[in-house]
Formats: sequence, structure tokens, C-alpha cells
Amino acid sequence: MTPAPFGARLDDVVVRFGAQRRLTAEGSTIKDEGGTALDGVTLDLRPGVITGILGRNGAGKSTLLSLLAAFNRPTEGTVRVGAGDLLEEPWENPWVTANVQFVRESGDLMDDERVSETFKYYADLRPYWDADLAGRLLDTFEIQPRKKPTQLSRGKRSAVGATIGLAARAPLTILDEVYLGMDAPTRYAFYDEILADYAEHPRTILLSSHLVEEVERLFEDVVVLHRGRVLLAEPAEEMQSRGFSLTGPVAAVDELARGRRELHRQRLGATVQVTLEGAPDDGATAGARAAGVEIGSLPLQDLFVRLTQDGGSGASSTAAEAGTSAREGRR
Amino acid sequence: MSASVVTRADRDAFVARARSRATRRVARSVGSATLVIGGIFWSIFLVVTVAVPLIVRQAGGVMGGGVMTGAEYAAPWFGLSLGMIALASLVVPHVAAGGTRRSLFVGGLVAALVAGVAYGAVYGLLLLVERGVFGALGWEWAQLGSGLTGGPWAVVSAAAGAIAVAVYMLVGMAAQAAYRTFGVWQGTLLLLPGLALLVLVDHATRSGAFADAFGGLGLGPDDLPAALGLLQALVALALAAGWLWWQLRILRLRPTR
Repeated sequence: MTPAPFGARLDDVVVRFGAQRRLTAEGSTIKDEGGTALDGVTLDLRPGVITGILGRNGAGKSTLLSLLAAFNRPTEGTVRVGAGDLLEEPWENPWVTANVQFVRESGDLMDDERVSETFKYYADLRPYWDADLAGRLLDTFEIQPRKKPTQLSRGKRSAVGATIGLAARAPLTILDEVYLGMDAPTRYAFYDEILADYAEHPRTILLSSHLVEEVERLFEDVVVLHRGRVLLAEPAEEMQSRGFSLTGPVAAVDELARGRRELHRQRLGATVQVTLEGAPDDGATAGARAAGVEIGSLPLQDLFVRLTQDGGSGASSTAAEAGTSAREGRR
Repeated sequence: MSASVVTRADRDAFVARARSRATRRVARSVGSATLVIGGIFWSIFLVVTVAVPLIVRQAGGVMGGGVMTGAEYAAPWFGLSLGMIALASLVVPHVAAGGTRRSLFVGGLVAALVAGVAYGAVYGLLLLVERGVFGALGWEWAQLGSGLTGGPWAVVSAAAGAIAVAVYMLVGMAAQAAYRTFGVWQGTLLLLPGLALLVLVDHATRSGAFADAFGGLGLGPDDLPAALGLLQALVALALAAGWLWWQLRILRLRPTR
């Protein structure tokens, strides 16, 4: 039986942490700073799509994702996760927790046991665990299941986490920067595996990443967080229609770009690529064609950088509109 | 669960299965590790219990007391260490695998009880073995085990040891959970209530390090009727279980980067 994909809804969610000094596995201590990780987040996450969760370091991505898997609970507000009309709070709720697989970069493995033992644990708890897929992915990522996580490199450890994320086949699969430490071939193999498995077993996938250019092709929806707030939440297509790029001779591009809000500029010799806000009108399209300027889609990375720039200019009117319509846009 | 429509009945059946799976897995993981490592611990004591008197006899000496007194002190602390290690190893993978804190608690409680019963039974048995060895060698064997009076002493000692090991194990798990939730300073402070539970169970069973330490303070008679002592020990067990549940139900796993 195929489980129905899970969606989620957050209403005015606030998460605050107190400062804390904690013990590490190595016996040293680390100070976790306190503060407000999420500040009034209201958001709908559509079931059955791949959603990119983007944001700079400390934006609140991991905190938001951890709420959905009951790693944590909100200080204020409500979080509801589920399928159809059965949206419920995740905290201590097996209906949600057994259907949500949250994978962090660390992989959340048993450090003192072989990888195979951790997989047995997941297999026993995860109702849709696919042992064949897990074995195949370990082969793909060249990981020996007899090894302990402490014997693995950071990249291999991340790959173990990625394997768990896919093999669990959870109706809501959350991958929180699991690519960290993976080399480029492994990352691309991982992206291909996500798409292949998603096509065969449709479910909801939330993928947080800094490598926006690499993963934007996967996204159907995009959420941008900044300083604990939602800046933007909408389908990727709609997001891409917020701007376009022009590539060609400097003079011609500058002429076409005049009077428009510039999101990004990159120059290489006599050629320049400029990313602009808004949509090209018929005149601009014809002018570009005549001047030998190529019109391209909006690189998500450029919009992301623009939105999250410090100093306030990043929070453009685009983001302000998106923030207020985050909820409505998802329905 | 079907892909199209999920009914309330589907959901409830799913939840019951998930709870049962997770609880059984925790009990199995913690219980088996405790029994395997405990097997090594008690095997060493078995060898020592038999070998040491024979060696002493061979050298022409006489022992004034058995070596099982070491087990009486060591076994509960061994349980406490195993409780800490088991929770440290399991808590994050368990939550990540979809388990709840409740299933972690129930599974941990079951494992602690099973380990306690197993340790207590072996402890009682080894007391009898040691007494037999001493008797065979013609030595006088000073009765060890619990200071509780009345009832068959080996069984009472086994029961007292079982409860003590279970309490120590639960307190060890709770200490680990406290450090995770509250960090180093408050976690250390929260060792004190756990310590009080250890004192309580030692005092109730009239055995263990804290019974010796507090015995001279006149907190109660040196000997206590077995039924009353075991009842007090069971109260300590219930309090330890409640202490662990309180620690686990508020356990938040913070982002670690």
C-alpha cells in the first residue's frame, strides 16, 4: 500500500531557546546561544511536492523542520502535520512521527554500532522501510555497512543519512542539508536518486540547502526563511516569474535593463549577465532578439541572495508581498 | 493506510502498531545490551566467587567474608552506567526513526525491570553458591545480601537487588536525559533528585553504598522486616520511573549546528 503524502500547517509559530552549555560525545562542552529561532511563522506546506527550504545560516530552517518531526515543540503557536483532514500536532504523536522522516546532516546514527545495526533499528520502526533500496544506495555511495559511523568520513556519514531518508519512504521526508560533506559526484547521484524514487513513490519532500543552484531544479515549491520569518513561500514557477536574466554585450544589456530593478550582475569580459526583477515585455523581448541578447529564466540563487541580503534592501517589495501572501498562495 | 482516504480507524490502528513496534524495539535494544554485558559481569563474579576461596585455601589461609559483597555494591552502579549509556546511544536515533518519548520510556522501563530481575536472580544464586563453597571448605560464611529480616534470605536479597538495579538503571537514564534537556549546569543540579532516589532504595533494602553511609545516622533501624523494606523499595522504583518519565516527556532535541 502506498501511504498518502503528508502536508503541514504552521500558525504563528514562535520558538525560543535558552542559552545552554552542553556535553559533546567527545566529553568537551559547547555553548549553544539562546534566542528566538522562529518568530511568528505562518506557512502551509503542500502534500505531494518537493519543497525547497532556503535561508542563510541561523535563518531557522533546522528549527522549523525539527518541529514537523517532533524533535522539538513550539514555544507559541501551533504545528499540524498529516494527510487529508487528519492534520495533528506532531509532539508525542505516533501518527505523525512514524510518518515523518527527518534527516539531519549528522544522520542521527548509533555511533557505537555498525551502520547495519542502525538500519535494523530504522527498519523495525519505519512502517514503509525498503531494505533493498537501502542496500542499493549504500552500494551507490560506496559505504560498508559493517563500519561504525565514527569510522566514516563526513561525506559518507551524510550519505548514510541520505540513504535513511530515502529508504524510509515516509509520506513526509525531510532532508536538512544532508549533502554537507558529500563530494560533487555523490551529491548529484543523491539528487538523481531523490527524483527517481519520488517519481516511483510520490510523497512530500522538504529539502533544505545552501547549494541553491544545484538543487533548484528539484523544487516545485520554495520557502525562503530569514531571521526566523517567512520571506517568501510559493511555487517555484511563480517565483521564477518574478524576474529574468539578460546575457549579452554589455552596452545592449545595459540599454535593455535601464529603469528596471537589478537583482544581480555578473560580467565576463565584454559579456554580462544581469538578473532583473519583473517580466520582460514584448518590446524588451524583441529588442533583446535584435541586439543578440539572450533572455533566460530567473536564477533562484540570485533572488535568494537578494532577498536575504543584510541591510534591509534584500527584503524588497517582492518579499514583503510574498510574506503576507505566504499562506494564501499555498491553498 | 491507503493512499486515497485515511479514516480515523486506519489512523488509530496505525498508531497502535507504531507504539507497539517502537516500545518493543527499545526494550529489546536496551534489555539485550544490558543482559549481554551483565552476563560478562556476573560470569567474572562466578569465577571469582569459586576461585578465590580455593586459592586462599590452597595458600593455607581462611577467608573472613565472601567476595559477593563486591557484587552487592558494584551491580547497581553497573546498572546506572548502562542506563546512561543506553539512553545516550538510543535517544536521538529513536526519535529520528519515528519513535516517541513515551515508547522510549516504556521500553526503557521494561528493560530496567527485566535487567533487575535477571541481576537479582543471579545475585541470589551466587550468594547460595558462595555459601556452599564456604561450607564445603569448612569455613563460616557471614550472611551477606540485604539487611532485611524475615523470609528466605536469598530470595529477599535477590528481590532487593533486583529492585535496586532497576532503580539505579532508571536514574542513570534520567540523568542522561537531564543533561540533554538542560545542559551541563542544570543537568548536574538535577543529579541530586536522582541521588536521593538511590539513597532511598539503598536505605529501604538496607544494602548498597548509601545504606552503609547513612546507616550510622540513625535514620531507621539497622534491620527492617523484609515486606516493609521491599515495599519501600518499590516506592523508590515508582518514583524513579516517574522521574525518568518527567525527564523524557520534556526532552527537546535542539538543532546541533
